Amino acid sequence: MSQEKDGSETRKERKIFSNFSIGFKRIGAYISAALLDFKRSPLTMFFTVAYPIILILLFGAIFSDSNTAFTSYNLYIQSEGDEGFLIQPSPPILLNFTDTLISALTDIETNDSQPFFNINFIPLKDEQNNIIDPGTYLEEVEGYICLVIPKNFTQEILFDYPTNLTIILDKNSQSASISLSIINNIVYNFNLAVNGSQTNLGMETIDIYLGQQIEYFEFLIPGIIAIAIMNNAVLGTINRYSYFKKQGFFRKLITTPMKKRDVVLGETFWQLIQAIISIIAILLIAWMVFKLPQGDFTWILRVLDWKIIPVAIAGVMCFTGLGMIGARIVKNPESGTAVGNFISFPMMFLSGAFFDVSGVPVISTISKMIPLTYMIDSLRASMITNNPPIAWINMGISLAFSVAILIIGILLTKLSED
Amino acid sequence: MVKGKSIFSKIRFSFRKIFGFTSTTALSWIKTGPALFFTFIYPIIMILLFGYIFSAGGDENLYNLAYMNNDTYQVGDQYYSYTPASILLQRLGYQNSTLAEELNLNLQEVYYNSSQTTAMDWMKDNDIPYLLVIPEGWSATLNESITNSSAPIANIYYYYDPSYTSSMEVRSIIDNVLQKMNIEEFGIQSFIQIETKTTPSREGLNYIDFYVPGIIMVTISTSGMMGLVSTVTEERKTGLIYKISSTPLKKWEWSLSQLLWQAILGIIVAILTVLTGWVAFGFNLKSIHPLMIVALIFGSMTFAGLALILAFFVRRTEAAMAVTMAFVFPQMFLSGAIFPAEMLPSYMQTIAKIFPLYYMGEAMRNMMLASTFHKVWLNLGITIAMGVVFFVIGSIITKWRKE
Repeated sequence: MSQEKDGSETRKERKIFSNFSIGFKRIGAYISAALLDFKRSPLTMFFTVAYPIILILLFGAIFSDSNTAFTSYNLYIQSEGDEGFLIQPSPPILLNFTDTLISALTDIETNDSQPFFNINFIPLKDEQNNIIDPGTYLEEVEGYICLVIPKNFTQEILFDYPTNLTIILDKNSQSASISLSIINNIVYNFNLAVNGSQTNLGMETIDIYLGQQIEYFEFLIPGIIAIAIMNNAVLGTINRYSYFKKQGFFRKLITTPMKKRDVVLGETFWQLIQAIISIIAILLIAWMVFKLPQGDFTWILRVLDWKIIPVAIAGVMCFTGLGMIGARIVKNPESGTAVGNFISFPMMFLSGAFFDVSGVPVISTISKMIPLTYMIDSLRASMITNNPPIAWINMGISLAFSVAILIIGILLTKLSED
Repeated sequence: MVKGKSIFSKIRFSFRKIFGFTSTTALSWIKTGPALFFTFIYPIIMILLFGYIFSAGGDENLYNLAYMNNDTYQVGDQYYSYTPASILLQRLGYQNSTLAEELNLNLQEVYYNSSQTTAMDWMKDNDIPYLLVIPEGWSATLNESITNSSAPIANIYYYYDPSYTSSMEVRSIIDNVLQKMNIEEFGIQSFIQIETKTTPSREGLNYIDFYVPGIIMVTISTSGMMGLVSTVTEERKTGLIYKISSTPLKKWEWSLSQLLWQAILGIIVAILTVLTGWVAFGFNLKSIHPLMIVALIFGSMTFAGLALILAFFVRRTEAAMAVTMAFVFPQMFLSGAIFPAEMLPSYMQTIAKIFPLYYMGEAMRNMMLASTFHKVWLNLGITIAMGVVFFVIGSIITKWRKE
């Protein structure tokens, strides 16, 4: 009796084991079919490899410290003439604050000794002897900031203070506002110097990642990785599912032993493989193009962290799920890319991957509602800032999102349809 | 007489064919449903998204500045609540919502135990972008420096997370407040004051007014190119183009009808974008110039031509879409439509000039200001030339044979 029981239990165990092994085989078959499709599909290849490489090259070139092509800010100056003031007749000492101010502006340099301002002078009159209005001139040359130094600036300061320095600027230009803050600082220090005073109130600024020497573009890498995973999974799943639906593959599949579970798992595993290819491509390119030339050979080892894998799994699950949801509303494969872009494009910008949205009222709230934000934060904390508590919290939220979205996606997917 | 009549009737017949085919394209497009929805919803999403991030944000941004005031001011046994530290906080908008909004700051008092953790670690653990710490004895040091000129500078500490670009803006806000406080508290005479003015023609214009034309062109280039490339490659694959070649419709008529449809879509997209910009962000309708229609039509022509050229070289729909995306993405970021081009490194500004979108964007922006209007002609000329050249090449090389 007990032998029979043992026998049935062994058979049951064997059955479970063989079910698993068949399940794995089916998933493997799905993945190898997807791999074949990948080799034949330039669009998927583009989103897996070329697109993240374009993004990393673009943002690396803009924000990397190795970028030596800093563009000086174009500052236009119109001086109405300054006779100066002779403070000592013999030997003559002429005070000229216009020259002092211009040379102070010329001497400012960036950390790598490049001039901060490219100074251009606006003449007072044109060839026809007409007075040139500095504001109109600035618009004509498409400049963004102009400093107008009043006539006899030195004597004005000495005998008729306070003197107004007029700054005409394009209020929408970021370069203008950076330039303005520099000029403000120079004027502030000038006022202190003339008073024979000093700054009694100071502010020490401390970068919280000072010891880790992180370049700004490195903060963008996790964003590019998460976006690559999102684009691959959303667009890939929508395109494949809508194509399968149109061709009737799903209907054919239900006549085979293949179960919905196998299809979904196969798709998710395949997306994970693509995600890993994207991650490797992004890190290798960032390392070779921006870090190796600086002599930083170990950068790639520093950013590799095992926590990338669970976050990538969460990303793949979440966006494959979203892709499945998207595939439900797509009636023909041609509109698949449009629907995919419609889902992924706003998330790319709302997540704050490229632009800091923390201060923007509505966007910052929406940003907290999308899973991409948490994935990027988790990746950033794991790879770049080495901050495990933040990495874990965000990973947990990402996984919760992923499970929920994937379940909705699975429930909505019907193999029997069409 | 008869010859003249026959030319006239040929032209009339051609027009009928072009309009006939355009209406067929429009009908089949309308029937696709999602394409209709996404062509219309896409520009709306774009303008809402970028409008909020870049323009509306400008005045409404509110940075949550965490601060910890460790300062107490004591003379003998007497503690004073009104101290320089409290003055600083008031100047930063503490319990003064009008001033706080003016400064774009929202002060939030925080506390961490400095004997157990550092400010830097505490910020990392709690994901705090910026923190202002007023150290113990700050008020005393400050008051001492009023009477003793050799007293050390009374420093406050600003900790920031560099991954937040706004950390620099917040720093500059605090810096300005400190400078003003220094000047006023220490009776420093201002010899120079700065007066700022806006460039004359831009006074009535906001960021959104310059942003709308850029977004229109980005949408037209992205959806226009992708749409036409997929239509042409798909029609070639299904043999529809081959079938059309057996009808009286000529190749140039077919190309023109494709262009006409792209231009109609472009104008619809433009109207939708402008209306959304106007409703959501108060886009200044007066900044629209009639010449923008010309830029729009020749812009559509450029992208239609480019799409036909791409579709010629890359036969498969998927591959053609991939190549199109490889073109439109860098164009979108480099042309200055989304990022201000002035922020790019100089060599990237040069690269930006190889993309057609750059000239269209420049032409449209220059049209908005009287002072830059003289620059319109060169950029518009380049746009028109590109439109004609790309479209003619695209039409000529398109083949009507079955693949």
